[in-house]
Amino acid sequence: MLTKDHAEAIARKLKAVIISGRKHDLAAVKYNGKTIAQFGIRRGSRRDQAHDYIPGQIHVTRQQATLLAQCPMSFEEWITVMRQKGHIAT
Amino acid sequence: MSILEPPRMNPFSEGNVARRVLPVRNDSEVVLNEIREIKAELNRRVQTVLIPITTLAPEPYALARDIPVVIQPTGDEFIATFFDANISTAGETQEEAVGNLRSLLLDTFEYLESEPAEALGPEPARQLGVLRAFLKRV
Repeated sequence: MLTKDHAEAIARKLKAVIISGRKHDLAAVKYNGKTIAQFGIRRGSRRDQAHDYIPGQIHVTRQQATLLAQCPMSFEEWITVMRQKGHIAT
Repeated sequence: MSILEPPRMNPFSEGNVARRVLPVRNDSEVVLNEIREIKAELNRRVQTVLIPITTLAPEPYALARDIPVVIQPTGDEFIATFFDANISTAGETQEEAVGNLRSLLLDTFEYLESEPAEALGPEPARQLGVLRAFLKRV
């Protein structure tokens, strides 16, 4: 399960801009001045809150999202995946 | 028994029973695992429900049409997704998941609208287009 800690780690890894929303912090991921993805990080004190929806929001598999959170996948590697999937113009 | 006769095999000897029972036990475990997987998939499908968002009150927004939300279980919680816009969040109950999605849709809409069109990549631009087709500020 992807937890709130994972969600925050992914936001940091992707250098996301955090926008405070109603019940979420919206993590907007930008590249070359363009927003290419965004996802909500739930508010609340529970660190084990499920954030299993994040992989779909940043266009990667659950395994790749876990790698982003745990460090093996770098920001540059994620950008490469985004280029391959057409979310960033090449 | 004469010493010239070959020793008769005892069909109930420990070795014979083990030879016959072990493959059956392995097959049973395979079948049991398949049943468990089917049961889990069935549970997921049975618990997946479609709930429309019919109002955004008291927020100052009107809906052009209901927003279809798919609720799926994940562990002890539920994921709520508006698939057309590819926007999801979660909650401890189905109601909380829908409530969280309602607020995230508005947060996302407001953020994307605040950005210049040229600052949105293909997916956020598409998401904004979908959201505009469903909701508008009043």
